[in-house]
Amino acid sequence: MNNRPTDEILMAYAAGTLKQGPALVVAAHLSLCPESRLRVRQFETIGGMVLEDIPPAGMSADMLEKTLARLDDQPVAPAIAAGRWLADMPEGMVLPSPLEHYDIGKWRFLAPGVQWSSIGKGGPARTRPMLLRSKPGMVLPEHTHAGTEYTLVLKGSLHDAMGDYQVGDLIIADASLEHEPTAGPDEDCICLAVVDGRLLMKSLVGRIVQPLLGF
Amino acid sequence: MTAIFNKLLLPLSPCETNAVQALRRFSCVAICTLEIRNWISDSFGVIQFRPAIVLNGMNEVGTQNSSSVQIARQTQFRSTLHRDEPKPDAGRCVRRMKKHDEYSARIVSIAQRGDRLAFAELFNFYGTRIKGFYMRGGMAAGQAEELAQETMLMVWRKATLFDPAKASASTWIFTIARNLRIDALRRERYPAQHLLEDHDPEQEPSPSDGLLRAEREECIRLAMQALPPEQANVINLHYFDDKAHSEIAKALDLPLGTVKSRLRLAIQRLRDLMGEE
Repeated sequence: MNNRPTDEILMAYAAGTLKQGPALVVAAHLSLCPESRLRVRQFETIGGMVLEDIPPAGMSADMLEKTLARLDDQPVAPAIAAGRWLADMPEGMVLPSPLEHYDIGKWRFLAPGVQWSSIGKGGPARTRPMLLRSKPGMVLPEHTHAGTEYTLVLKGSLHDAMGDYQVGDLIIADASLEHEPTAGPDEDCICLAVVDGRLLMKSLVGRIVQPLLGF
Repeated sequence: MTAIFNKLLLPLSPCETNAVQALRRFSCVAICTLEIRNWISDSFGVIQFRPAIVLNGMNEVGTQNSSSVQIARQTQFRSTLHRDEPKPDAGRCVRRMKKHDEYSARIVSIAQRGDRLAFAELFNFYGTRIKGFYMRGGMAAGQAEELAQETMLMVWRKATLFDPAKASASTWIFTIARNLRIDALRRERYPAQHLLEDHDPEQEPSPSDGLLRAEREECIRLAMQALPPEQANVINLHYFDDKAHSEIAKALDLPLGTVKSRLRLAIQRLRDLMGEE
């Protein structure tokens, strides 16, 4: 696999400081890429060292006692419901496990031969992750100009001027980059995508559709 | 005395849940700490130096906790060798002297026999640091303490999922603390792949893997220690909260470009030191 997140991104993920949307895409990538997984482990080890090195903050005198008294409490584990998946998937397609708890909306028209489906409900719509499904050979419009795009190939393949991307590859495109990859010629391509946008946008879909209407 | 401690070292039955607290009633414990510590060490067949974490922790009230005692003690010990040892070194000194494995063994002991003494030891070492970790990330002291308590309860409950072959105690506890911090700050679940609940079906560790992983962790530790302080510092800051680079730059009173390049350099150096795998 030649398209992996940078170490900066994997470190932010391990530190827990990556934004929600990108974190989901990275998690999905990790479920497909042992190399990146190992890297995250390494950064988590550094997290453990950072924890050891932090100057201890004094606890209330009775905190240990209170905690010991609570050891036998039955944990009120908040049951995390499985997400509702409304978008149908091609035969044999298995979505990465990190998506399990997210709702996935119905497929909706985005462009000729391209559909999208929103993931989850939390946060502003413009930074919400989405699935993109493209017919063979169709161009995936760029998601936005206003932030970093994360695109993870889940099925099929993509290619652009920089190269070919297979299942598990994560393409991270800076705002400065013109980036409109094409789906491979043999089968539908399904991607998980998110925009890490800091700039204000009216709506993500608006931004996606806008350039198309200009044709 | 011996009878009581014998009891303490055995798994506690439900009616004995407060036995640990009973310890506190012994005003003589502080005085006897050293003997008790040695006694416990002997019972476990542990020969090396073991700080009296539990016993100190239960007696000392207020700001002086076991860890500071421990650090003070070891700093004192060191300063007999090197005078005027700078203070920040104390933590590293503790780390170097303490086998990480010891804390891993505590977690395993919790998993196997609900060992409350082991829990108390973990609490005294990690609880205060987890609180410090949350506070460095900008959390108020009260909330940080509460969440640190929750974190330690989670350590207790999830102990059976801990696999010493996969991670050290610190790494594992860090991931729990990290996830709880995210949960506290965000409404939606961070899709972190927990070390403990990892989907890693094809990578069931064999006994020899444990050694390999331990070695790998040691490599990373050495690599981190080999970083120049200013680079290690930028990495450290990276772990506390999602401060943008610009805020880190401000906190360090450095130009933004410097912070970014230091982080990049630090990561590059780590990569070289750890070796690509």
